[in-house]
Amino acid sequence: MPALKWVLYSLLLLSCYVLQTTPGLFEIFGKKPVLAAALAVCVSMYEGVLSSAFFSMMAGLLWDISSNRLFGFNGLILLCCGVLISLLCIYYLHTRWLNSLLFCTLAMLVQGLLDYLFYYAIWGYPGVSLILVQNILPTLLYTAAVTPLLFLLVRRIHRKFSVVERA
Amino acid sequence: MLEFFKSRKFKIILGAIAVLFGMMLYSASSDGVSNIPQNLLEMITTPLQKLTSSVSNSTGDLLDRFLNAKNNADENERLKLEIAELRRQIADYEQLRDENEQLRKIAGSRELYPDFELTAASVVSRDPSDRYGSFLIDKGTLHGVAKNDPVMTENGLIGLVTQVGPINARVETILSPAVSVSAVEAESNELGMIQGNIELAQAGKTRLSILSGETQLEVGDMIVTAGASGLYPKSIPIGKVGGVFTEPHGVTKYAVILPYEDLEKVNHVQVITNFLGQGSEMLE
Repeated sequence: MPALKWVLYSLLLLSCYVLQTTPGLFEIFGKKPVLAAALAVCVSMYEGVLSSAFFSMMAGLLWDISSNRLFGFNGLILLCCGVLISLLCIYYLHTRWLNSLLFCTLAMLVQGLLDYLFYYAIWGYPGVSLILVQNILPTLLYTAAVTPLLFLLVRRIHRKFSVVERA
Repeated sequence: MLEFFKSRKFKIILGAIAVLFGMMLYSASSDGVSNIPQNLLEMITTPLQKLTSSVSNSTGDLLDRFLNAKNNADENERLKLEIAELRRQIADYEQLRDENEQLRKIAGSRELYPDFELTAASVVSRDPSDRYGSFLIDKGTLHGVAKNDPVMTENGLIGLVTQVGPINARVETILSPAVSVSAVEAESNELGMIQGNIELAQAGKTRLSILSGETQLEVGDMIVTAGASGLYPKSIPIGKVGGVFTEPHGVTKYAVILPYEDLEKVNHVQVITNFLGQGSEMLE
């Protein structure tokens, strides 16, 4: 039942968002993983292009609520990443946990660089390079590190509920 | 794969991208007011965040007793010394207050007493990608919170509300370069501007800039709000001076300020929804 699958994905997304924003939870040296983005990457690897696009967009919009960014900024970035990841997995690449690690790293790198450019670099704040080294990079690595766990969970859900090949 | 770019699905995705651009433009022009899709998502997520936040805080408090016993003991000793110093200052303050009262009676001056209206709020969300300790609280326009309302705790100033929805609001702290607070040293009334700095923000500190080259500020001096802009009430503690340094251009100086409140760990705050003089600037 595809509808039930998407209900589970949605509940998982909501849980990931709430967990990633809970103060103090999963915090290591002041850094936390972006679970919603990692989940969007994993779902995009298994699902169709259009559904991956909208799921990734929702993950990004949820992230926008808590991240003090223009509403739609992360939604747009994750939508584009979700489309690309889905296309790559349909036509060229296998869905493996190692690929999920790679995709998540690249998606977070793109988001981090755009975030750095539009919210720090262009405003000319002194010491902006510290943001890259002390914030963006550690968050990227932490998020990529937890991606395989979410990948296994998404794979389990997908295998249980999907019956037809994705279009 | 090229057929995808000619398909209807691709056009739908392009439409979604256009909608997202529109939302970003609206968000940029809405002056801190959340849009409808954002409000809907926040109404779903905020109650869940309140629940997980309270569970996390309770568990954290319990574990903190065991994991940080030595740090707590060290802090206890440091606080005892600080209390002794504060008691000495209170004694001086009592004497000064009596003198002030006498002088007011003689001069017949009228004193404005600040009259704060406070709304208590809890921190429900902190984003992994945030750099300046900003957070979401569980109160919004329905509770009387408005954009630019100052936020504080019993220890001192936290920051101000920069975005508000019906049931929650975003608070940006004084660690952020986007937040400016006119401030004075509590005793000498030397004026400066509190404005965040990226490098200091990583260490939980901020800076007081636009100090003259002959500034008399010393380590440990108390910095409070000046109340000049109408954004913040007067005399709210901000932090203490951690050091005074010369700007790279060599003309003015700045001070590193250690906020009295731990801005990245605070869980409960007070939003000042109304105070005497709010929105008015001090006349010279």
